[in-house]
Amino acid sequence: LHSKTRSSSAATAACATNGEDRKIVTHASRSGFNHVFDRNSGQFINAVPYTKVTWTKGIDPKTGRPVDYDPSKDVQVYAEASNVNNDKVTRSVCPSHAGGNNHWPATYSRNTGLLYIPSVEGCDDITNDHSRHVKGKFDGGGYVAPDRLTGSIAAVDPTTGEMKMRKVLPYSIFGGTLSTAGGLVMTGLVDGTLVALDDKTLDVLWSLNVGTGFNAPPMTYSVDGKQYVAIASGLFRNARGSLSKSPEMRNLSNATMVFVFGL
Amino acid sequence: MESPKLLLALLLLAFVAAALPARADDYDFGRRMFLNKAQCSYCHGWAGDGAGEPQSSGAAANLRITTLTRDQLIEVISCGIPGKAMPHFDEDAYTDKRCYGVTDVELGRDTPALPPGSTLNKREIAAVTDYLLAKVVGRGPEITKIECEEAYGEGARMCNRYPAK
Repeated sequence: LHSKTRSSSAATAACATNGEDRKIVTHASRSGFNHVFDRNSGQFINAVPYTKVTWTKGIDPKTGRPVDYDPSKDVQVYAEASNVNNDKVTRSVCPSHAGGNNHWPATYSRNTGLLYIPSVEGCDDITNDHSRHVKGKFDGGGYVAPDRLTGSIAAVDPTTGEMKMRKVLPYSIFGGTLSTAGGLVMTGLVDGTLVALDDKTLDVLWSLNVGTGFNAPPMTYSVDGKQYVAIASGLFRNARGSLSKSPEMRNLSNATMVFVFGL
Repeated sequence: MESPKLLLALLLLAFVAAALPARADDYDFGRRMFLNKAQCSYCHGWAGDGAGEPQSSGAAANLRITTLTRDQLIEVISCGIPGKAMPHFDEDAYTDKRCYGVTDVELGRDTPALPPGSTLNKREIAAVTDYLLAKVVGRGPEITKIECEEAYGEGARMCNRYPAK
């Protein structure tokens, strides 16, 4: 399921791992794991789940591959095995088809040395039915997201692969995170809430709901010494779809605006 | 002076006519609901054969072979299907007992989802149902170029992949 596309965010940083200065690249995958590689050699360094993961029992710390990966098989059978069973039995698999993280960026803070990964929290009920497959068309069963989706920000130390803290937020995050030298981590939720968290505790320091959803990341800039934060609003189809089990959001407006705040 | 004006008017008319989609028929409003506003085609496929976009939920009904009546189609579009991916397009479904005699409290996590695009009003639900009955239901397994051009306009490039008849 999660290998349909690997459109996930990547961040780069220079860090010390095992006492050695290395340039690394991090990849918060749709699979629910954050992977860290050496940016120059591609060597696998570590991986850690940043959200609930049930599709595999874990990642092999030596190879970076799922522990249930079998190189002799063309089609892999992972823990939940929803990918190969043709028994029409419904299985719950986490994270949901959207990820975890997807194409929206995590942020690396030089302030704390941590990576802040925005995520969609939820699972899919998947029912495989290979008899539906017709050559040239995309089918073979389907999924239902049975529960309300929420969001989270996980703070991961990329040098050790350790998750330091995690903050669950009431709605999905389909935009990225922003970290500032002043100690803020900011993100927008699909219900239109812009939040500013403390980068050391992930406590919510400030939030404002603008009444129209966000699927773009906030960004920051300064003019004449004054710092601003800007964010664009308006939900694309799949971000709006993440509210499909949130009936209180049925009348959420979908205005395409840019909101600018002064710090 | 009159003839250049007339020529200009004719040219303008020809230009406007060429710009209009060639699919204007009695079902154009319902077709717009199906393809655009309600995005039914995202899961069911533009031809209603159940082959939707690769990112869609999958397992969508093949509307070309459905045996549902007009009233049943309106009910499923308005109420969705409990426990399945089919969403409810009536904005107030499950806030009272209008759908299958149950509320969201009784159905719990089996309550159909809100559509990812837009909900529809009664007139729009009736229009998309009538479009389905006229242009999709009973159309048979073979999707033709003629049918594709009805939906996307004459000469639409994506229609070249389908057989002429």
